[in-house]
Parts: sequence; structure tokens; C-alpha cells
Amino acid sequence: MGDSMKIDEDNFVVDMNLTTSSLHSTLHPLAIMNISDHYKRFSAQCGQSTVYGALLGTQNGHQIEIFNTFELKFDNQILDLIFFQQRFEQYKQVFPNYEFLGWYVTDQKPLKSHIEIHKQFLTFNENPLFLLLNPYQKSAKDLPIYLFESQLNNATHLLNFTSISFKIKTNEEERIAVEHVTHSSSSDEKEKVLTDFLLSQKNAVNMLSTRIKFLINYIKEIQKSNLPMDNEILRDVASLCHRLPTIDDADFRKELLTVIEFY
Amino acid sequence: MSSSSKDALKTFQLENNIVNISDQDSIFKFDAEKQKLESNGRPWKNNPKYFTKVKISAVALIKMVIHARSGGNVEVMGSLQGKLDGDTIIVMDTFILPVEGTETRVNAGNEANEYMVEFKEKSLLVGRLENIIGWYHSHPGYGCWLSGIDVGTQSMNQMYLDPFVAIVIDPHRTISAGKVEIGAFRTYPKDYKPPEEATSQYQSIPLNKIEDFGAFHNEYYQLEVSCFKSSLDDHLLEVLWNKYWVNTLSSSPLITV
Repeated sequence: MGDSMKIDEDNFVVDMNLTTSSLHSTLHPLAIMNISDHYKRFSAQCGQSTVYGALLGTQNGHQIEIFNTFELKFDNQILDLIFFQQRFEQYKQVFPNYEFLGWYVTDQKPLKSHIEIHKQFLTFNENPLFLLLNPYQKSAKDLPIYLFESQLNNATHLLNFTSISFKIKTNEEERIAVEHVTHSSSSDEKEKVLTDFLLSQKNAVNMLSTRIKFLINYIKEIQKSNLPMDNEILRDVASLCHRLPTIDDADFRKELLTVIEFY
Repeated sequence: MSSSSKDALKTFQLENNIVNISDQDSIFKFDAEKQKLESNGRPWKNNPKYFTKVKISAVALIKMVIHARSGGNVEVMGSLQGKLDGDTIIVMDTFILPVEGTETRVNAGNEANEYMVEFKEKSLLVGRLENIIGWYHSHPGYGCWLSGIDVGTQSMNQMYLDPFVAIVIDPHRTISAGKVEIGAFRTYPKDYKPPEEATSQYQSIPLNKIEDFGAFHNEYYQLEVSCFKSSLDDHLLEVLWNKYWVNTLSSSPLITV
């Protein structure tokens, strides 16, 4: 993650090395899509590209799960407290088990001013998370999303951001909905639904095939001694290959043939 | 434009936080003037099938599906925020209503109405300018159509709150089929007899519901549902998909049957 983002040295802020935080954070696609929607709405409406919001979800000890978000109002970097509390109450009514976990901003990098904003949330959560979505970052590999917690620097007694890692988590229904919008189509046309389904399967199979080719090339290069041998990777490859016999036994073949006949 | 001037333009835009709005993203802008024109003369009053399509934003769809599923066997309900574009109703966002449903019906009481008004007021303060343009509820396990009670609710809505659309989601069938089961409906005016058409889309309805389905199915019609998303959504979903494409394979109904 962190290496794709540059931090100005004068801008102090952040330890971008993923530290071993005690927190295990997971993020749901709905939260990501919500922030994206918030950003697009404001940029379409008034050209404003920096938007702020609250992160909602559950916290069990060190397990943090961000499910949802809502928009926040700021006046000159000062949080509109009344709005925040009223809006949070409204969400609490329909999501009684959600807590306030932190806040988000859409910006290119963490700034000193973000620390000032962060401090305003300390009353509502001892250790609020700070999520940054960089709408300008267009890498196809990494999500343009960064998660931080704040730490008091013992030497300077100032608050610092420390980058922490997170995982993406989806529930079954969320995954189906996300997949639906990813390959969105009209609900009525059965043919189109089938085509979409087959298309996403085909894409996935293509991806699998690309990855396998990549591994084969890698092993060939090792055989030619162009690349150093890494036993750990090779063990992984070997264990992958060992799974193949399940896909080749008689039971599987029978099932497969039945399925093909059935269709 | 030469590449250096392009760079300059880009730098300028970045520094001034100016964002280009592509055609794809213009749908996210709320144009009050255009909305006034759309409802000028209330054209839906003259044509019982004026609205034929519903477009749903990515967040709206995901929120409805998750909410429907969270209810388990109980019907849940929420509001749709959106706008008009000719014969299309655009759903930008949704929110949950604090309503206790049962396994066969869901109805909004006064408390829910109050909540709805307050929630919408607060939405205005954070740039969600769209009006309430419909409601959604779940049919856990018995398909997407309008029951007798739903037809009653929707007719009232169209009488007093039009333009208004009803969306139904079946969370159980969504899970079992691996695709979102959703339908959008509007009722006909009371005295209107729809032409006999072969609209009876094939649906499997549980036996204990078939009477309810049959008695009312020609008092409303179904709108075509599609989804839309922004260019940023596209990008984020692509990265997500690149990370989690394996799920697409492992979730195949061919394997999980």
C-alpha cells in the first residue's frame, strides 16, 4: 500500500510504514461506494472535491468493521456538532449496533489540517480512525484508500497519523449487489442476464489463466536460472498443484458431465 | 492540446480542486430548474403508463439489498430519494425507515413518517437535494410483485405524493439465485382497465400467495430497472474486482448447487 503515496517532508504528518497496529480493521464495499458517491455528488453539484463524513460500524475489542458512512458538515474546518449528533441519532435508530468509528476525507494526501479535524472527534471515540480516499489516484492495482490511527508522539507531544492496514470484507448479499452494479444491466432481459453472468465468469477464467501463465513463466525462468529460487513461493506453487487431483477425480468428472447435460 | 499544456491544465485543476464532469457523472448533479420542467403539467396524470423505466444508483441498490437481507423473514421498508428524467425515475439514494414489519406486511406509521421528514431535511444540509420519490420493501422468499396491501399503499402514494414508485426486493431469492431479485412498480388509476396483454412475466409464486398475486396483478405494471454508477465507482469496482475476482469463480451456481 503506502509506497504509492508521497508525503511532503515539511508536511510532517505521517508514518507511512504500516506499523503493527493492534487493530484488525475491515472495510465493506458499501462504505467505499458511499464515499465515492458523496465525492461525485459534490463535484458534480459545485465543483467541490474535498468532502467529509463519518465512519459507522462495529468494534469488538480490537476487531473493527466499517459497514457504512454518512456525510458531515464542516464550516471552516470546524465540525457542525449539532448536525453530527442529530444525524448520528438518526442512523442509530435504524442501526442500533453501529458505533461512531472515525471519519473520512477525499483528498490527495494526509495534511496537517486533518490532524486538527481529527482532534474534534476525540470526544466521541477515544481512538477514531481516519480514512483517506484519493480520487485522483488511478492505479488499477491498489485501492486509493488509506486508513490511519492517531498516536501521541512521546517526544513532541503532538498527534501523528500512523498508517494501518485493513481488509475488504463483504457479506453474501453485499457481494451479489456489488457484482450486480459492476456488471449492471436491465433486470428484465433474461438473455442479457445470462450473457452478463457468462461474461463475468469468462473474465474470471481469463484472469485465472493469466495468473497460471505467469506462474509457469516464473518457474521456467527459475529453471533457466534467470531468477533466484524462492523456496517459499515454490512451496505455494506446489501446494496449488496438489489441489488439482480433486478436480480430476471420477466423482468430479461425473458431476461436471451431469451439469453439462443439464444445460 | 499538446501534452505539456494538458499537464498544465491538469495541474491547474488539481491545485484549484476543479473536477471535470463527464457525461457519465452528470447524472449526479441535481438541477432544480430541470426538475421543475419535468413535473410541469404533471404529464403522468394523463398517461397511466407515463413512467416506464427506473434507474438506480450503485449505493441505492447495495443499501436496499443489504437492508432487505438484514430483515431475515420479516418485511422491511425504506424511502427512495431521486428525480425525474422524462419517462425515467432516477433513484439516487435510499434510507431505512424505523418500521416493525411482520412476515406478511409492512406499513409505515406516524413515527416512520416523522423520521422520513427529519431525515430528508438533514439530507438537504449535506447536498442530497433530491426529493422522496418512492418507497421500497422486501418480499422475503415470495418474489417481486405487489400484494393487495401493497397496491393499496402505492395507489395512495400516487394519489398524494406522485411522482412515486414502489420497489420490491426478494432477499432470499437474491441469495439463492446469486443475482439481485428486484422489481419496480406503479399502479394504474382506479377506473383504468389495462389492455389485455401478454405481460404475465413468468414468476414462481408460493401457493399461499398465489391468490393475492392473481387478484391484483392487473392493477399495476412493472417498470424496467437498470443501474448506473460514476466514473470513480467504475474505477473502485474495477480494483475491487481485480482483488476479489476469485469469488466470481467460487460463487458460481454451477459449483454451489
